[in-house]
Amino acid sequence: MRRLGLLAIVLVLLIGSGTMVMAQDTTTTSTIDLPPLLLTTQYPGQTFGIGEAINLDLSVETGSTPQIVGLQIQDLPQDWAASFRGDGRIVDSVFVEPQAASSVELRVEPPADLEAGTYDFSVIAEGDGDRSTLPIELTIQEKAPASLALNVDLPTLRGKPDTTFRYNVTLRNDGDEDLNVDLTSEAPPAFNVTFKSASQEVTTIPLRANSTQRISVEAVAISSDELQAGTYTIRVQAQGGDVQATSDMTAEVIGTPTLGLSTPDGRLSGSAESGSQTPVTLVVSNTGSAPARAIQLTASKPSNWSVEFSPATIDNLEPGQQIEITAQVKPADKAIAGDYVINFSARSDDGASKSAEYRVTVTTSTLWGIAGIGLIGAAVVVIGLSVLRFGRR
Amino acid sequence: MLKSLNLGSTREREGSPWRGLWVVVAKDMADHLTSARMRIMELLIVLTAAGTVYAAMQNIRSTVGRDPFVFLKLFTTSQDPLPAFIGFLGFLVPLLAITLAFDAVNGEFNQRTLSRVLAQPIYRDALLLGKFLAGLFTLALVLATIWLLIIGLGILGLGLPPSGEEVARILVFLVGTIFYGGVWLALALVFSTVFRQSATAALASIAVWLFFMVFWSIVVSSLARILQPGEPTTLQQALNQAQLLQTLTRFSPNTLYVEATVGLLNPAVRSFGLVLPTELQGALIGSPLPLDQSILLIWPHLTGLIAITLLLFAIAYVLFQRQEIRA
Repeated sequence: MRRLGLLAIVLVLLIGSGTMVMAQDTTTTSTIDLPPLLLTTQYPGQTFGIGEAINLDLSVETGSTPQIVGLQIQDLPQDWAASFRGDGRIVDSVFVEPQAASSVELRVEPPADLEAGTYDFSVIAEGDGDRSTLPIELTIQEKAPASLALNVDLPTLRGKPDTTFRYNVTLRNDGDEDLNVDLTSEAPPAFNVTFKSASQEVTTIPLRANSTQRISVEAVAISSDELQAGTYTIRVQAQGGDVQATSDMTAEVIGTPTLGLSTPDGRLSGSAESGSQTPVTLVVSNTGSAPARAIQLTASKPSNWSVEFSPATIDNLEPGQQIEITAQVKPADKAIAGDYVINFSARSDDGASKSAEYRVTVTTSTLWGIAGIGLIGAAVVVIGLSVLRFGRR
Repeated sequence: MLKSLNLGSTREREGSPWRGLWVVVAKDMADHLTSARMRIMELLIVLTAAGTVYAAMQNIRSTVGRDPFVFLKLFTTSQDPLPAFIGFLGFLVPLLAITLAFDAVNGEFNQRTLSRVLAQPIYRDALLLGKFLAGLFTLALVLATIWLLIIGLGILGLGLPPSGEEVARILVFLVGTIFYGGVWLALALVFSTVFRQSATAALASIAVWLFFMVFWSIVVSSLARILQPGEPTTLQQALNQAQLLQTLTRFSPNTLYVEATVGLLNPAVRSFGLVLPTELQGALIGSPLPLDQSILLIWPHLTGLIAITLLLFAIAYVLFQRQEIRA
């Protein structure tokens, strides 16, 4: 019983507060006093760059009476053109209902030889006896000129002939226009230069206004064997529109020795009799770009074989030079006939090395062959003797 | 002294002891080539050759891969259930040789034609050598025919000619096979001189052949145990024992022939017998040996076969010369 009473009180309170809120609403709507005709835009003063399209969104409202509102422009600067657009068409009047704003687009087309400065004009809306004026102030600015800059983090790199010289380059566009930047390079013919962005090879890269882009420039020797030691300059050029930027990078190539090991006629096989020394002529060459020092010659060989080099070491071998070495190969005394492999290798102090497999056909002595013929000879002698003793019967 | 004695006892024994040799060779070869038992043997060998080579060819064709010695494979490839042709040769050649010579001398005795032949101006030297050479030539003729047959079948079936080295290896193999037959020919000749009965000579020859074919390996292993008693304790002892076993095995002409065959027809073979791993260090296993090295490898076998043939002939010669033939 008591609970029911409490519920009733709450209900009364709720209803009371609801009616209070409704009363407040009615008072506020009645206090806003809309003018009979109102032409507005959100930003009546705006700044544009030269050459940009100028579009303004206008809004027309009416207080109580639905009406047709005509639109006009007043005090438009000389040689300017302007038009109203609704739903994409050119309009010059608009129908307005109360409580619902109609929107119209104003398109202003300044002349081509526009100068920077402030221009004023007004838009006038004229309905049934009512009139609303909207002053508009447009500031026209000169655009920031396009400019392109190319900065290299580390412009001088040092490496071996087979190094990939990778320069990190920052492209900066300080202008107000987006640019498509073409990347080109001028490099010595021994180099191959590529541009990479996000590990993709690029030749043209889009660069937005007032932004930077990091790319890497990779220079690789086309043939690392033929690249001579020295300093090479690589010029990178970026061109976007009318502006361009260049930057020079330097690759310092340190020479390395590259060894070659072969025979004078390139044939890597030969024969040797078991137990006797056979000379094998080898040619050690340096095809690299720096002298090779203290070249050691070694051979991996079957056990009980001996391989001696004369000379066993080469003190200095200039690039492009070659030297003949004689290896005395001596198979084991009782080596079985057949093919064997010897691995000759040359190794210099500065780490260059080269090895060559040499195939030796071991032949055995023909002494036993003569012994066999001796055996047959002995048998023939036996027959001969028996013929002498018992013959002609 | 000896010479004067000879001169004293022989009155008109002048001139070459080999006079009339080629007449004997021609007559005996004609006999051999027209005899029924030769027909049987030839048929047997031709059938064997055709069968085994055909089977080998099927096998070679089904294997993909380039082999520089495909013609040699015609002799050595076996296809179940047929063994390889060289396996057959191992016992067909002795059989053929024994067939040719087991009644060479005692046959003449039994037909009482020996005195009649020797009444001609022909020495016994020429008669025996002529009979031996006739047998050897017949053998060579039959084998050469078989060889040509096999090469011809190979060219037809495989569609490519044999290389020069293959031809050389096959020819040396032919020579080896002829002298392997020569050993048994000379042995049968010895027995046909010793025994007056042809059947006894034939049985004795076949007995010796069977002895070397079946029993020699058993005899050798027991002999090796007797000569070097006790289990080998060091590597050197084990090596020595293996070496001894191999040396004894090689007293058999069969072993000599088999090893010569393997060395010639499989160019990758570098050595017979034990090879230590250290000796094979750095070796390219499977690469073929040059022809001269292969021949050098089997040269002892080849010369051994030839020398045994000559010595056995010498024995037969001495026995025949000392025999009383006026029975």
